[in-house]
Amino acid sequence: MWARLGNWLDNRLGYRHFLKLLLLEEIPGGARWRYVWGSTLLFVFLLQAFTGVLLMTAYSPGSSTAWGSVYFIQYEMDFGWFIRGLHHFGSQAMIVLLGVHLLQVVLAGAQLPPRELNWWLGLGLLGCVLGLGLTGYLLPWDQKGFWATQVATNILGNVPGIGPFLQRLAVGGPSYGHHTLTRFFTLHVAVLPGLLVLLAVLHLVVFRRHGVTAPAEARQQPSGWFWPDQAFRDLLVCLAVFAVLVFLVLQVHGHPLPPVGEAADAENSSWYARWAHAGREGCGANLDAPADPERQYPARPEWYFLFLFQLLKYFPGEWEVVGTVFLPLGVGLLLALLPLLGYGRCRPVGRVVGVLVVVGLLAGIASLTLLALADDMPEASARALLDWLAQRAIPALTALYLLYLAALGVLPVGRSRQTLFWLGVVLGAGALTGVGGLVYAAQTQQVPAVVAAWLAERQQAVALSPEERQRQQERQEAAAKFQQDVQEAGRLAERALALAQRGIPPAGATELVRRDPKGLFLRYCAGCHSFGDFGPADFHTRQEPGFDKAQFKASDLAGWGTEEWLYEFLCQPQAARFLGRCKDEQGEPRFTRMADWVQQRWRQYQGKEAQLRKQFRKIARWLATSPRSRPAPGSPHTEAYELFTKTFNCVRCHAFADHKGQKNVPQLTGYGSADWLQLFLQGPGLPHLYGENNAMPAFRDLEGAAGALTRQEYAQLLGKKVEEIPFVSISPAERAELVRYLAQEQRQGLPEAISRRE
Amino acid sequence: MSTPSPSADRRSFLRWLIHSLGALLAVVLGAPAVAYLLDPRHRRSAASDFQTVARRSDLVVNQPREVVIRQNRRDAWTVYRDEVVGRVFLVKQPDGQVLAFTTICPHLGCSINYTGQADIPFLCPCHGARYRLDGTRIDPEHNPAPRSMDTLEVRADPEDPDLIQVKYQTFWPMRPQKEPRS
Repeated sequence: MWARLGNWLDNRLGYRHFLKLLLLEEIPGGARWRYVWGSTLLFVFLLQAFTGVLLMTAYSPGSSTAWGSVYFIQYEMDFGWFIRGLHHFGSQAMIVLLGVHLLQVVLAGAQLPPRELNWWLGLGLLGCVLGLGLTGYLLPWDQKGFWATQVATNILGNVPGIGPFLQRLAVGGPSYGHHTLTRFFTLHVAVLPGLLVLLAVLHLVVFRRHGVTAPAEARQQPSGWFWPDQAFRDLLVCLAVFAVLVFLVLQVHGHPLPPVGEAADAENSSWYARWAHAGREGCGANLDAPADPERQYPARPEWYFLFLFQLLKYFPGEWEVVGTVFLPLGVGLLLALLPLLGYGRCRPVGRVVGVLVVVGLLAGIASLTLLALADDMPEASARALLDWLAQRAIPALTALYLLYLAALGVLPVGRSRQTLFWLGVVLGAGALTGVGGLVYAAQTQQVPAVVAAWLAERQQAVALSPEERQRQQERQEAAAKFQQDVQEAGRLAERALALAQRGIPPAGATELVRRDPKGLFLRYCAGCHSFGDFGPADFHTRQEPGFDKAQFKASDLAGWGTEEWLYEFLCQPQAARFLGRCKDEQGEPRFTRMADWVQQRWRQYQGKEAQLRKQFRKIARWLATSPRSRPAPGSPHTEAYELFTKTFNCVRCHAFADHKGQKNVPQLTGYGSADWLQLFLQGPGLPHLYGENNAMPAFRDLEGAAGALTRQEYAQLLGKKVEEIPFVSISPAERAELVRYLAQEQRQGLPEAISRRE
Repeated sequence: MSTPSPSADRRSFLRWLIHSLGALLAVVLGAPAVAYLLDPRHRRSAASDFQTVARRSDLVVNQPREVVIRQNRRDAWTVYRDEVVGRVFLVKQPDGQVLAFTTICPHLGCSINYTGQADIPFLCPCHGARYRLDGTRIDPEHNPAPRSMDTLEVRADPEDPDLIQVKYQTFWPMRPQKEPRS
């Protein structure tokens, strides 16, 4: 059946002929493991295209939506963490494989004529891949990508002459915004991949024209075919690369986000849900806090650009442009010129120069990268280890490697050469593993004791000049500061993610963090008010100086205006969490009338406390609805109203609807509602609020907003001068957010934004 | 034909191995990809509760009043607070009872207009579905709509009987019976 279908299709398409062209490539000297690297690059590119298209189905490129959509992919969508993680680590795998491929090409001398055109195509591909990494880094619109890209585009802006113009083109305007994202997105998903495909096809066509560059020993061996011998080797290495990627994705790189409410139940219900949302346990790629131009960030580029970052440190001031522009361009030019050394009698020289240039370049990149890591390492032994690796181990290993290559080049094809070759492969793999292990140990601050002791001994042997000592001290402090900033950024990210779980406002995730009620409460209220067991020490992103819970001067606002809060208040208003902490300048309780009145009731109801409690409960239940008028006939609150106005005669002091009440006693019409709180925050000393008893500043914007009292009017009502009244400046938007939280959200029992302790 | 040479055996074994490993890769990569693409099945529209829309005493018999329904709406990661999610016609019947209809036409989901005219009070501008004040179809034989306008549950506020509360819902168009969309 399949054969007949195949015949039918082949008859129409001729696909077998095409497949034959593709797969029946003769390989002189037979299939070899060293030819696999180009195929792995193609494989990872296809993987990137596949995961990239999947991500495009859920990603939304816009400065107010990008972070939210990536959050959603990472933490909410089934296996979004897996797809995004593969894409994230796939991009890094491409960079690594490019390095290996590059090395492999110059080792074989495959850049030399007649293959120079393919070398140039390859350099173009290298540019495309680096460009894809750079543009992709910005797309989540988180702090990390935002600030790293700021640096990159500013470097572009400092290119002599056309820099400012280029920067404006890249950014899509004078500053970061919608068009930055849409332009980077277009580069990332259309322009660069399109160019890459075009170059890759040409690269393959030219490659097929000239075939593999077989090593010397292969000339004596029979030739083989791509299918299936080489294809099998290629596939096996591709699978190994894929396995490494999956392994990396399964590690914890992100911030865990424990699910709340219904989501938590669903999460625990099945193994499928646990795997589908493993991003919540931190698996996959990291997502930082939303980009916020106002919030500083310890910006570092992705690790494969760290060497450029480190390079800048050696070119301070006006020399910077050498490190940012001229040197990278010069290296690019040098690489491009390599094949030209292969004409005529130059060829053997050209081959050696090619190897020297590329090996030197890769070693230099490795050293610079490790030095950049060392500079950010606060722990002394880890820093010393990275320094040693960068300054001693890598140069030494590079020299050894070059010697090894030279020996291979000189020895005639035969048994001893074969032995040396394999010895080198084994030792090389061991050295790479060793260096990698030590870097990992340094990064995780688990330097083995033996190594640490040896490094310390080495350091003591060298007498440091005072200047050098001073420089080391500064380096230590800078690294400590950096780590502190990184940790703070991490806490902000965790907070942002916890908030995002409740939904992101249409204005975008940046607003989510800026308008975080927890942050606003801390900035404006927590100097006097507590909130449950919550104090600023729990809030990680602002460091409050010397905060002491004993210094609370006003009521606890957790649950303010709810039935429970009102009931507790009625039963014991003098409790510390209500009026107990409110003292005047002499340290005397500020609000005694309410406390005295309640004391009298308890005496009056001696022996019938249960009845009093029941009545207080009724009033609390009614007031918790923030009533503005008497209950309608037939309402369940009629009795509460009777108690409120008649039995207890609360309206003798408190104004309510038509009842006038007294001065300096808060009116209860709409108590606990957003309107009440808005007015109260702007004028707590108004006669129908706390009047002369008030100790709270008025929270207002600098100029009176339309419809609200101006400062002068407020002062007049209080019979004071403007300068005598404490004001705290707050934007209307921030005030509205606080009001929304205190008067609505927390009372509706929505997931706690403030009191939840992460 | 002679028996296959060892080399041919090896080649067919390699081919088999390549296909198997390829299939393994396709599964490890494909299964999560399919699950990821099927993710929208988890998204539900918000469950609606009764909400107050008007005062009974403000309504006039047989004069439809259009009111808006506001809800917090969640669109993937974004929460829109207090957004208009739908519109409802309130029609006070001669017996004092209040009927509530969604403005969504049961034919193909366009928005029904109140014309103010006695013969065709409700008219859908898309395909001309016509309804009476009680929501029933005019001339069902030649009316594109498969059923009457969709009624919503109505009740009086338990604390203030004059307040009318409606439970907003949407229904599948094109079906002869109204079936709620989740």
